[in-house]
Amino acid sequence: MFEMEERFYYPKDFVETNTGNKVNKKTILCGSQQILLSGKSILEQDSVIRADLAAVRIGKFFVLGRGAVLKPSYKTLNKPAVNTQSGATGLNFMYSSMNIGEYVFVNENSFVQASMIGNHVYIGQNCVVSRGVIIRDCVSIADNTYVPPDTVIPPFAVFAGNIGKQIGELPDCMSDLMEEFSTAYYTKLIPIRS
Amino acid sequence: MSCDTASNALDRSEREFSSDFGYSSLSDFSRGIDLDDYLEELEKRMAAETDHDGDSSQGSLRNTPDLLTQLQQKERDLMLAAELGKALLERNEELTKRQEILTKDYSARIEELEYERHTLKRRLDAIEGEYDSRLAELQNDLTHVQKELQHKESLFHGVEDDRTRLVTELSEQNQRLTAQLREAQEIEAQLGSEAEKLREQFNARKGTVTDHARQLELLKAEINVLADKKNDLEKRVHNLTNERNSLVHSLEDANEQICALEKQLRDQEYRIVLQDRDLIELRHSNSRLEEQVDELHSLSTSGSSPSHGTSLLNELEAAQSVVSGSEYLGDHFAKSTGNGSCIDDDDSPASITHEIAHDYKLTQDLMNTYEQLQKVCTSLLSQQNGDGVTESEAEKVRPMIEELKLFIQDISRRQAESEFAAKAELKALLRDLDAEREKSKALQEQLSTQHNITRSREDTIENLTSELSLRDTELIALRAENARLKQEQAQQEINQDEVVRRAREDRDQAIARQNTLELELTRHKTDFRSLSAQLMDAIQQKIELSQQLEAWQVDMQSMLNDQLKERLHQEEQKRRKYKEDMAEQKLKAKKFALWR
Repeated sequence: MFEMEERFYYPKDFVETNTGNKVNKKTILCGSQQILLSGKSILEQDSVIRADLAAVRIGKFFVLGRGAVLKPSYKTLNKPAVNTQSGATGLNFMYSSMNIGEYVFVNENSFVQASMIGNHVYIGQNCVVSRGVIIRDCVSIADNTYVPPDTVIPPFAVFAGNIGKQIGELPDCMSDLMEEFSTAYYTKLIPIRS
Repeated sequence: MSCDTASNALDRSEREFSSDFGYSSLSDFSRGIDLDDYLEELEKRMAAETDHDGDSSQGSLRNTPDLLTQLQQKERDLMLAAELGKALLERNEELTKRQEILTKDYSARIEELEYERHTLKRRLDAIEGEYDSRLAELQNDLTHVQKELQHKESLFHGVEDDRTRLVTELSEQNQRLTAQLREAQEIEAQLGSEAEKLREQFNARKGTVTDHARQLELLKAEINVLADKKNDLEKRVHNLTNERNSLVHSLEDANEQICALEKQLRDQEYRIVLQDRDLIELRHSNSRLEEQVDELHSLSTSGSSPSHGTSLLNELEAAQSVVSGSEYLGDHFAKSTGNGSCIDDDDSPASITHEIAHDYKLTQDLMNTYEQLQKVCTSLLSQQNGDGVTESEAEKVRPMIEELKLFIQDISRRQAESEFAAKAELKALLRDLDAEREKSKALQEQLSTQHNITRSREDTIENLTSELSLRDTELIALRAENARLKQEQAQQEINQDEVVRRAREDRDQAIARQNTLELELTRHKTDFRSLSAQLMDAIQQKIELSQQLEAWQVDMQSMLNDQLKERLHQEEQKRRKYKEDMAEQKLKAKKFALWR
């Protein structure tokens, strides 16, 4: 069985919360009061979460790779939004909250603007997941994939290509694999104790 | 021959000439005339006249009378000259005549000779033709003879080949026969040796029959001794059978014991299996309880700060506050994100007491913040008294603070409750665990003791089985000895008559074998003789054939010699005939010449 190598970090570089979330100090968290992490998640260096636009809810054992960006999806409106109190007209689009399930892995330098991501999802390196995309459970998106807007990726699908298309199906054990992978990734990230 | 004839003709003409002119020869003729003398005399006279003319020219005047003498002399000379001329003319005429005669003679002779030459030429041609024809005939004969010779030679070669083949075959036959002869000789020698051996055996048997009686007496004595021995051994066998029976009994007892022990062992194994199952169940329950403990621990850790509903900011702040109460809330995170150095990573799930302490700290911190907030509230109230502008702000803050207060109280309450419950549960679980562990240890000990007992019993069983096997082998050996002794006894009890009879039988058999061997020997001898006779016949045949061959060769040689001799004789006869013909032809030619 393949075993992941241990990775070490200096405790000064990371903030570890009570729920076991490990947040690098060089992550860019916009509107962190709107970021809800369930625990045991890892946010790597230079990753960005744009929670200032809308709330971002993330399940446990979430990994956001180095340089990856999470941005809430938006919806275009027929009429511009009107503030009921002040009566001022706003923009003609509205950001909606982003929901991410458990055991989700977003690899390095990917841009994710999906409106919903299910459980046990793997997103490869340098991927672009456009707005309004719905990713169901147990999905794998290969490296360098572009998923066009408002795509619905069905469960157990393998997506790849410059205009992403389904190229195959995943086995039933994908959930187990992702759980194992995410837990291993979390447990093998060990602080160096002086 | 022609030369002889010419010389003869010349002689003849000379004789005729001399007889005609009264000279013996031409030299005699010249001597008879004295012409040379006359000429010499004339020359002398001429010389004297020349001298006299010189003198006379001077003395003519003085000696005229000498003129007359001289004139007379001259006249005489003239006379002599005339005579001479006459004689010479005559002689010339004679000579011309003679020449004519001679030319006639010679022409006749030449004609004769030419005719002769012509005839000779013709004969030569004829002879040459004959000779050529003869040569051709001879060559034909020669080729014919050569062909015959070759044919004869080929025949001879064929015959020689046949002869060599025959010789080789005969030699092979000879070799084969010699080999057979040798084999027959060897067989003969073997048979002779066997016959000698049998004779010796027979003699020995004859001698040993007397010894047998003595040996029989000795054997009788031995038989008596052995019978005694046999009685002893029978007794021993009886004892051993008794012993064996007792051992069989003991073996049965041991088997029963073994069965009982095996039963016990099975029971204990069953028990061990049951205990193993219990152990597994206990382990399962233990793991379940550990999981529960973990869950409780996580509850206890996250109870004070419920993750669901708390944002990352709060979490980070909490983490920060745990590490250092008033460490900077940096501006490293963009837009109101906390940046703190998290040293709180001693999150090992094993140490529950440590966790409780940690929770206690948290509550302490919360209380501190509450106090601080109260202080802020009081300061705000004081400010409210002093300044009316911030009243609305204070009013806004107050419900929040109240909420916070309630929240903190609730948290502390819940924490305390949960802590208490968890502690109690944990204690109970730990107690259970200890008890289970003790139980399992006791069971393991029991198991090990049972194992030891079973092992010792197995050892005893093995010892008993090995003893049994040893006894069995001993018994088998004793039985074999008994059987052997019985056999020996039976052998010794054979009668003397039987021995004698056996000896006689042996003797008869030996005699019969000797007879058969002798018969075989005679047969082999006859075979050998027939083979030798065959060999002799073959040799004689070979000799006859070689003699025939030699005779044939001699005949061939003699035939060839005769033929050659005949040829030579024929050739000689031909030559002689030719010579005779030639002589006849010569004679004929001479006759023709005379006739001509």
